Amino acid sequence: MDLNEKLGILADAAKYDVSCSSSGGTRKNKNGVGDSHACGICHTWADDGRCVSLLKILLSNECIYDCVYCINRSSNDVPRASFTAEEVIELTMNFYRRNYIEGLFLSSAVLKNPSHTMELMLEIVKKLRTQHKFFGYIHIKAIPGADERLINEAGMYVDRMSVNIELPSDKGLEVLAPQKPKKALLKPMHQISNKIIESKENKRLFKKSESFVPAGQSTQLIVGATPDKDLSILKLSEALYSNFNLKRVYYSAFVPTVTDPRLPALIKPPLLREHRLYQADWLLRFYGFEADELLSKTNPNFNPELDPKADWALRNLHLFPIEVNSAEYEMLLRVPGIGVKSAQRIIAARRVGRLTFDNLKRIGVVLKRAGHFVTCQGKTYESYSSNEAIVKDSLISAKLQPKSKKSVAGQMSLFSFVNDSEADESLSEFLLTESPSNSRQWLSYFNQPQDGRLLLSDIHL
Amino acid sequence: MIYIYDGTWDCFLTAIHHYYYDKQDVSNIESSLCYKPNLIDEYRTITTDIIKAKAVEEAILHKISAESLENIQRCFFSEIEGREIWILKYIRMGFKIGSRIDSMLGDKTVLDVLIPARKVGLECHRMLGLIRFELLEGGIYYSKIQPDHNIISFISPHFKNRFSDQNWIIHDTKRKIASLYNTKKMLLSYMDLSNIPELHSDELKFQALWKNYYKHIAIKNRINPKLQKNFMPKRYWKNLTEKKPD
Ligand code: SF4
Repeated sequence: MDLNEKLGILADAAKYDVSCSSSGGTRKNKNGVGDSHACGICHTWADDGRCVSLLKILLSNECIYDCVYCINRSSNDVPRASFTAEEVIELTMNFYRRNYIEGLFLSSAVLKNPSHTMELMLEIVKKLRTQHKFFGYIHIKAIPGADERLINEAGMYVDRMSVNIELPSDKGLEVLAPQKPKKALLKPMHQISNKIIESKENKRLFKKSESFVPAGQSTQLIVGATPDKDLSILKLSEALYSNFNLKRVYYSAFVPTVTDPRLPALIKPPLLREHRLYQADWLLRFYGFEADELLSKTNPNFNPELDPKADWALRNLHLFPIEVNSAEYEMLLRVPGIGVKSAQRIIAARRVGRLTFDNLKRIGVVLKRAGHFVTCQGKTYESYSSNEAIVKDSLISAKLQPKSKKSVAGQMSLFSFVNDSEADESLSEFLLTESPSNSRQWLSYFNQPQDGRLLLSDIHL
Repeated sequence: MIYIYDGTWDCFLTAIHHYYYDKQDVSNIESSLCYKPNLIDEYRTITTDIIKAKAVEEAILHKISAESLENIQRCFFSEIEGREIWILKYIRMGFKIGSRIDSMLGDKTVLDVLIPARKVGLECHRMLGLIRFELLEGGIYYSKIQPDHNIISFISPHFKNRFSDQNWIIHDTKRKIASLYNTKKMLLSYMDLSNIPELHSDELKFQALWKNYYKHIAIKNRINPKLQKNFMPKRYWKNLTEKKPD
C-alpha cells in the first residue's frame, strides 16, 4: 500500500478526535527545527470549519477491541493500515518544514496489545526529538493498559498526553466499550497527573531536569452516544479539572459512523449541544462559574435558545443591573455581552476616567445584550428593561445579528483568539534602511561560506 | 503645510521630528507614493534622517511606552489610508499624558491607531499559520505572500526561530519585499526576486500528500464553508498548497 493511501485511511480514522490544540507548549528550538508557542497556531481550516494545527493521524487502525461507537472496532468492515515509524517521521518532518503544521498528534488503535502499540509510539517520539532534533509540538495518546514504564518514558518527549474517556458515565462504558472499564481509563490519567506534579517538583529542585508532558493532559467526551444529561457531563469535566489537573476537556458531538442497536438513532450530530458544552466549559475555566450554577437536577440540559451565560443571567435578574464604574471584575465577567477581553479593558480604562455607554461600545461591549445588566454612572441604557420576557427576547435577537461572527455554531468559534504580542522582536534589528536596486544576485546569499560572519555588504544586492 | 515623505518608517519618523522642531502648521503628512501635488497646497519634501528618526522612536518609548511604540508601528505598517495623521495626533496626545494613553481604550484618537494596529496583529497571527513553503532546487524553502498589510517585518522573526536550520525566503510579491534567511543571518529588504529556481524533485510528492490529508481530515456530516471562510478568508487561498487545484 502506498503512503498516500495509508495517510488517507489513518487520517480518516483519526479525525473524530476533536482536540487539535497546539497550545500550552513553550518548547524552544535548540539547534534543530521547530518550537512551540503557548498560544498555539492554526495552519488551515478544513471544509468542516475546524482548525488544523497538528498532523492528526493514527499509527494504526487495526484494532483488537470492539468498542461499539468506534469506526475502527474490530467487527467493522473498513480498510486497515499501519504506518511504520519512519513513515510517520517523514510525514511530520516534511509537513513541518513547509509550515503546514505545528506538530504531530499521534493516536492509535490497539495493535496486537496495548504495550506493543505504546512501544511503537515511544519509538517515534523518541526518534523525532533525539535523531531529528524536532522541537515542534507533540501530543500523543496514552494507550490504557500499556506498561507504566512506556507511558512514563514517552511522557518525557511529548508536550501533551491524553487518555480519552469518551463516554461520560460508567453505564455508557459498560454497554458501549465493554473492554475498557472506567477504572482502566482513570489509571493512566492518574499516573500522568502524578508524574506531572512530580516533574514540576523536580524542576523546582533541579533546574535542569526534563519536563514531563509540559503542556498538560487532556481528554475527550462524546456527546449524544449515551443518554447522559448535560449536567452530568459538565460535572464530570469539573471533577476532571480539579482532580486530575486536566488542561482541557474536549467534547465531540457523536457522529454515527457505524449503526448498532445499542447506539441512538441520530440523524445529525448534536452540534448545538456540543457548542453549548464548550461555552459552559469556557465559563468554568475562565469566568469563575460552577457547574451547579449553570444547570440543576430540575434543569439538567442547556437551553438551546440561549447561551449558558445569558441563561444564567436571565435566571438571576435580581442581581442586576450593576454599575460598570465600580463593579468587581468577577461580576463584570458575568454580564452577557462582556467577555474576558472587554472586562479587562473596562478595568484598565476605569483607572483613567469614568466610563459612558459610548466608551463601552468602543471597548467592544455588546450593548444590545449588556444594556439590560449594567448602568453607567447610574444611568441605564436606552433599551434597558427589567422585564424578564423583554430581556429574553432581546438576548435571543441580539444574537441573530448577521454581523456577529460568533453566532456560527462550531467549537472553534470559541477558541479563536489573537495573541497581540506575537512577533515581538524589535524591527530595527534587521530592517534595512536602504533599498537595493539590483536583485540579480540574491541567490548568492544562500551560497556564501556559512561561517556566521556573513555581512550584508557581501551580498551584492 | 503638507509634509511629503518617501513611504518608509524612518522617513515618517523624520517628518514627526520636523513637525516638533520646525514649528510649522502641518495639516497632513503624506507618502510621496500617493500624494499628487496641486497648486493650492503648500508642501515640503522630507528626506530620511536616521538620527532624527531614532530620536523620535526613543521619545515615544520613554515619554509614552513600549506598548504605544508597538501600536504605532503596527498602525503605520497597516498601510491604511490616513494613518499618518492619526499617528501624529496620537503622538501629540501621548507626549502630553504619557503611558496613561494605553488605558484610554474608549477614546477616538487612541482607537484610530489601535484599530489598524489590531488588524495588523490579526493578520500577523493568521499568516504565521497560513504561510506555505515550497522546497526549491538547492535546498531553499520559498514562500510567496500577498498580505493586506505590510507585515513581513513582523512575522519573519518567528520563522527565523522556528526554521533556524533551513534556508528560506518569504517573498511579498505585492510590495516587492522579501526576507531571506541562510541559517545564520536574516535579511529583509525591498527586492523583486527573479530567476527563482525550480521545485525540488520531492516537492510535488509532499504537496500531494498534504492535499490528500487535508481532503480526508474534514468530517463530511459537518461541512461548514461559512465557518471555514470566517477563519480563513478566501483572499488567502491562492497561496495555500491545500487549496490549489490538482
Ligand atoms: S480501542 Fe480505541 S480504536 Fe479500538 S475500538 Fe475501542 S475506541 Fe476504537
